[in-house]
Amino acid sequence: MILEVKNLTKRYGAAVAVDDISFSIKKGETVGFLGRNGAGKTTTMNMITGYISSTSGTVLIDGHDILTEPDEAKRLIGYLPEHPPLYLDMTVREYLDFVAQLKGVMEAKAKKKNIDKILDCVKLGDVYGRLIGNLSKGYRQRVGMAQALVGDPEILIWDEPTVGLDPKQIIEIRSLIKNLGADRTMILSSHILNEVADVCQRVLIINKGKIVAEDSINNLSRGIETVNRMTVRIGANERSVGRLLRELSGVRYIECLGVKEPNTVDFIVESDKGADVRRAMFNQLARAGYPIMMLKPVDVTLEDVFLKVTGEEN
Amino acid sequence: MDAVYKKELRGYFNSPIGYVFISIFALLSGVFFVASNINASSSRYIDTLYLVTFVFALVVPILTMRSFAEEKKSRTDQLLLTSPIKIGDIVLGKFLAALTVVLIALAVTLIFPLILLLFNANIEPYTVLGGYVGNLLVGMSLIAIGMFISTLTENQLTSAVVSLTLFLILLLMEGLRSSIGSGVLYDILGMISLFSRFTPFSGGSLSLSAIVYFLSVTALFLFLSARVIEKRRWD
Repeated sequence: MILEVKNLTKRYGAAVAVDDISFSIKKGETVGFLGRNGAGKTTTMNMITGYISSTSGTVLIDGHDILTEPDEAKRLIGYLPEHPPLYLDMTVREYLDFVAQLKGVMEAKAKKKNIDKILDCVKLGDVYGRLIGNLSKGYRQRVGMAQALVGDPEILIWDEPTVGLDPKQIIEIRSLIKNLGADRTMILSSHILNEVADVCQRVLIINKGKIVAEDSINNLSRGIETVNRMTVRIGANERSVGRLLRELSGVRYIECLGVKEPNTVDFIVESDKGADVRRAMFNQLARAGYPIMMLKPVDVTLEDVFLKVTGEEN
Repeated sequence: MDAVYKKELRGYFNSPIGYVFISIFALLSGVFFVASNINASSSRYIDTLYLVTFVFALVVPILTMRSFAEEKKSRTDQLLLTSPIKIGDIVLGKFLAALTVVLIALAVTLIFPLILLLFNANIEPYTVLGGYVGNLLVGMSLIAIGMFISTLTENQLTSAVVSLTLFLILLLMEGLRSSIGSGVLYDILGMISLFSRFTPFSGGSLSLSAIVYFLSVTALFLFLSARVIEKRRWD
């Protein structure tokens, strides 16, 4: 086990941010840390990386306790916090140079080799000499990632790495993370299910400071009925076709999403548990002369998984 | 420590702060030099050096206000504290960088005794040397105090204003004491009267007790800075 967390707890006065959580991660494994905002993800990451101390419990990094042997433990971790810790008045070059010195990569040749490799990996070569303060958010995020990679740490920890980025940047950062995870141990924290599902073999779901589930995404989302909620696009010019859907037996909820494509109308259709209304819907609409242009189940969301693992009904 | 020292020193001179500090320091020292040596036709350069300690009170906050306040605000403290480096080394690196800037500023004022020599003034070299040692010690103490105040806030301006206010109070301490005259309060104020410890240096002597006093103040506030940062991790 490269990372072992035992009975980790963090209290802020009377409030409990992280409540007695334990888990361990094998070398080379990629683990997702999933939870709503404020569930205790960041607090846990901050304790694992030694930024804050735990109220009780231990964190062992390859056998080194983060509190009693911080130098040995911290050397094994590369951490990108939610807000990348960047000095805006430095150039990318100066910044990475400083980080290398901080992490004890002193020997000039090794340092250059390490930084060149990182620049290549996160594609920062073209802004190497520019002030970080003048870079776009997507580039800054990559500088933050580069920082975590300095010194070739065994464990990489990303805290909400795509928050606040535009869709193109999100895709880039996600694919970078996926590549990096191939030969390293990695923890990826997120509140977006798809982001984690794509990269991680195993997922820890954290809620109100406690781990509520620990499994693969597939296992977690198995059994969540997706056919009972779907989006349907109907080739009709008037919203009144919704009436036809409402007439179907088994349909319990309909919501009109409006016109997404000329001469069509989108609806969300929810059916009772166990009832498959697709066939009846097709027949009904065909009889009335309205073609179905698109029909797709609504993706499983974090909320769905939550409801399942916490056993609540919606 | 090395990494933090270099980064801080570069930070001072990558931004206007280092230049602003040295310029204002040189300007104010120059004004005092003109007043107490040139205009007064005096060769007692130690009189200028005595006034330079007051200049420190005004300008050291410029140097220390960012120190930890800015790291916290921009969350770069997260990088420092998750790196394999000790908090003491971070504090020491920052302290030495600020001290280096002070040394550069003091070096600039060496031009003043040289000017006096042009006038064939009779300068006592050991008194001047002692005066510079005293100034350096005052500078060290104020940097340590200013840095400590910077650990208490995320706001540079708050840090600067609180430091400046505190330094001015320390400056006024002697006046306050003489108006009290004697008693317990008089003695207590005497203990925290930082600037009056410079007096033996201006008399031309290296006072061991003053040196120990300044070094203790410096060490105490550097220690407290490290404690505050460490303590915050536990809250």
